[in-house]
Amino acid sequence: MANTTKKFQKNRLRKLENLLYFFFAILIFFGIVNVLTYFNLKESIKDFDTISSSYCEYFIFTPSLQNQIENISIEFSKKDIYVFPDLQNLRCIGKVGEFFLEDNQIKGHVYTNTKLVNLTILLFNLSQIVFHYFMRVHSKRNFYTLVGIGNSFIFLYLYNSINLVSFNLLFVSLLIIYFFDYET
Amino acid sequence: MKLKANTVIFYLFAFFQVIIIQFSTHHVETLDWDINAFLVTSLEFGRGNLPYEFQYENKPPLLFFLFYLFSIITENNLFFIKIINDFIIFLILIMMSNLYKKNVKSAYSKYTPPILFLLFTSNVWFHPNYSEYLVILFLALAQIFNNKNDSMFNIFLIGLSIGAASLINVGSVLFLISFIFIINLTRGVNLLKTVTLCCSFSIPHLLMISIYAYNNLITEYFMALIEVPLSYRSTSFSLTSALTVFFVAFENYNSYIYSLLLISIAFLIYKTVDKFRHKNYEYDYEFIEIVILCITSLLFFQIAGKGYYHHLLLFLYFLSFSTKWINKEKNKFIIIFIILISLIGVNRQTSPATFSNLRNVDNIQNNYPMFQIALNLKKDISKDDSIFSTNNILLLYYLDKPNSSYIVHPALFNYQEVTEILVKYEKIKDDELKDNIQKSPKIIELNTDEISLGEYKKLETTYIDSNLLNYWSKNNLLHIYIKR
Repeated sequence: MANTTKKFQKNRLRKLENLLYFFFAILIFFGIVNVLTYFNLKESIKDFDTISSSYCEYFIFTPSLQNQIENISIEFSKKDIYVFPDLQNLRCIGKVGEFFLEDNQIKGHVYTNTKLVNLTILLFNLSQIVFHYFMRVHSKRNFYTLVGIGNSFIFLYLYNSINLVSFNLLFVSLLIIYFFDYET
Repeated sequence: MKLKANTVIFYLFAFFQVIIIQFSTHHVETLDWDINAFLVTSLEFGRGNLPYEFQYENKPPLLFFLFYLFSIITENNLFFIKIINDFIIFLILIMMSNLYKKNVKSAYSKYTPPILFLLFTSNVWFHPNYSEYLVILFLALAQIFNNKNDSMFNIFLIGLSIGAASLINVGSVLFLISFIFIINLTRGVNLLKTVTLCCSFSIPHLLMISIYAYNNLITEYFMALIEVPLSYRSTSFSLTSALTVFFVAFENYNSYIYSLLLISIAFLIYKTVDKFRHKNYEYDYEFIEIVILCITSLLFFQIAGKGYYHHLLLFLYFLSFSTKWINKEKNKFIIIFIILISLIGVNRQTSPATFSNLRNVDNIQNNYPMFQIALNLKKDISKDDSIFSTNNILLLYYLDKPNSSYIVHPALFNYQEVTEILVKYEKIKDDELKDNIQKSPKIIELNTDEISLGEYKKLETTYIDSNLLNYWSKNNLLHIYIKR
C-alpha cells in the first residue's frame, strides 16, 4: 500500500517535472523567435523606411543603446510600458518602437518593464527552490541547470529591463540555494 | 558582575568604532532638520508649556521630553547632544551583544549582530539623533525582558518599554502586536499575560493623556497622536519603489556592506523556510522572534509612508541579528571576512574627518554657522521679540524662542495632509507664511529671498562657513531678515 502511494507520488512529480521542462521549452522557443527578429542596427539603416513603420516588431539585443554607425548616430532610450491591463504590451518588452530618422540621427525607444522582470526573477527562482528542496521535483543536476539557464535567459534576453534589484533578487536566490546546500 | 576579557575588548572596540564613524560628521551643524525640530519643540518644557500647546511637531511628547533632558544636561550645546546620540548607539551595541544567547553561545554569534548594525548605520544617513535610535533602545529593553525568565513582572516591563517607545515614535505601537504574538507563541496562549502586556503598555499613555487632560490639551494630544499619523495613510507610497531607491543608494555607498545586507536577508529567508522542510521540526523561538520583528519593522517603514531611509533603522537593527544563527564554520568565516573588509573601508572613509574633528574638538560648537549667527543676534533680541523661521530653525533653539508659527518643522508647511488638519483645528491659517510675515516678527528666516520685506533689512552672513551649515545643501544661502 505504502509502495503504491510512493509510486503514485513519484509519477505525479515526474509529470510536474515534465510540465516545467515544457514551460521552459516554450520560453526558449519565444526567445528564438525574437532573436530571429533581432534588430541589427548596422543592417537596419539600409532599409530604415520599412522598419520605422513597424511597432514592436523588432527585438533589440544590445547593452549599448547609443551607437554611431557610419555617419548616423543612433540613440535609443528606455521606456517603461504597462502590461496590466494592456496585456498585449507583453510582446513589446525588449523591442524597439517609435523611432524616426532626423538629421542623420535615429531616435527611438526600447520598451521595458522592470517590475514585471523582477517579479519574473523572484517567482522563477522561488518556485525552483520550492520544487527542488520542498517537493523534490527534480534532481540536483537538473535543478542547477534550470536555475542557471533560466536566469541567464532572463538577464540576457530582457537586458534593458534589468536594474540593481534584479541582481539583488538573483544574488539572494543564489545565496538561499547556497545555504540550503551548505548550511544544513 | 564580572566582565570577561573578550567582552571588555569588544566594548572598547565598539566604543572607538562608534567614535570613528559618528565623529566624522559632527562638524556639520545640520545633518537632518528633523533633529532641529525636536530640539526647538523640546524647549517648550522649559517655558512651562507642553508640546502641541503652542508649537507643533509630529512626534509624540516623550521624544521632546528626552530631548529637553539632553538640552539641560548639555546646556543647549548641540555638539554634546550629538555625542549623547553616539552614546545611545554604543548602548544599543552593548545590548545587542547580550541578546539571544540561549541556543548560540559562540563569540561569533555574540559580536556579529552589533558589528553588522554598526556597519549598516555607518553612512551619514544614519548619523543624526533620530527618534528611531531611542525607539530601538526601548525595544532592545523589551527584547531583554522577553528573553529573561517567564515572570509576570518581565511581561509587565515589556509592555512598559513598548509603551515608552510608542511615546517616542507612534509607529512603534506595531511592536505591541508583535510582542503579543511572540509571547503567546513562545509561552503558549495566555490571556493573563496578554492583558498584563496591554495594561503595562497603556500606563505611560494614560499618564501622558492625564497630563494633557489636566492642562486642557486633550484635543491637541489626540490631533497630534491619532489624527495626523492616520492622515499619512492618504499619501501615495510604494514599498517596493522606496526599497529599490534605498538598495541602489546603499550599493553606491559600500558594496561590501551591501552584500552583508543581502546575505542577512537571504539567511533570514532560508532559515525561516528551512524549518518547514523537515517533518519533526522544532521551533527556534528566538529566531522566530527576529523574523516577526523584521516583518513588523518593514510594516513600520510602510506605514510611515514617506520612504525616508531612517524609517528603515528598525529593520536594519533586527536584521543584524539574523546571521548569528549561522552554524557552519566556513560560512561564519565568509561573513567575518566581508565584515573585516567593510570595517577597513568604513574606517578609511571616515577617519580623516574624524581625526580632524577630534583635533578641533573645542571649536566644533563655536564653528556652527547658526550658532555664530545666534550669538550675534542675541544682543538685538529682547524677551518679547518673536521670530518666524521656516528653514534653519536652529536659530530658534539657540535664541530659546518659539516659532511664531504653530508649525516647527519646515517640511510640514508643505505636507498638505498635516496642514489641512491644523487649519481645521484653527492652529494655522490657510496661508501660514503670509500670515506670519504680516504679524511682523522681529526676525524672519526664510528659504528664499523672493519675498519682499520692506521694513526689514537682510542680515549679513558672509562670515559663516556655509559648508558647515547643512550636510545635504552645501550652497545653502541664508535669508535672515531683521526688523529695522
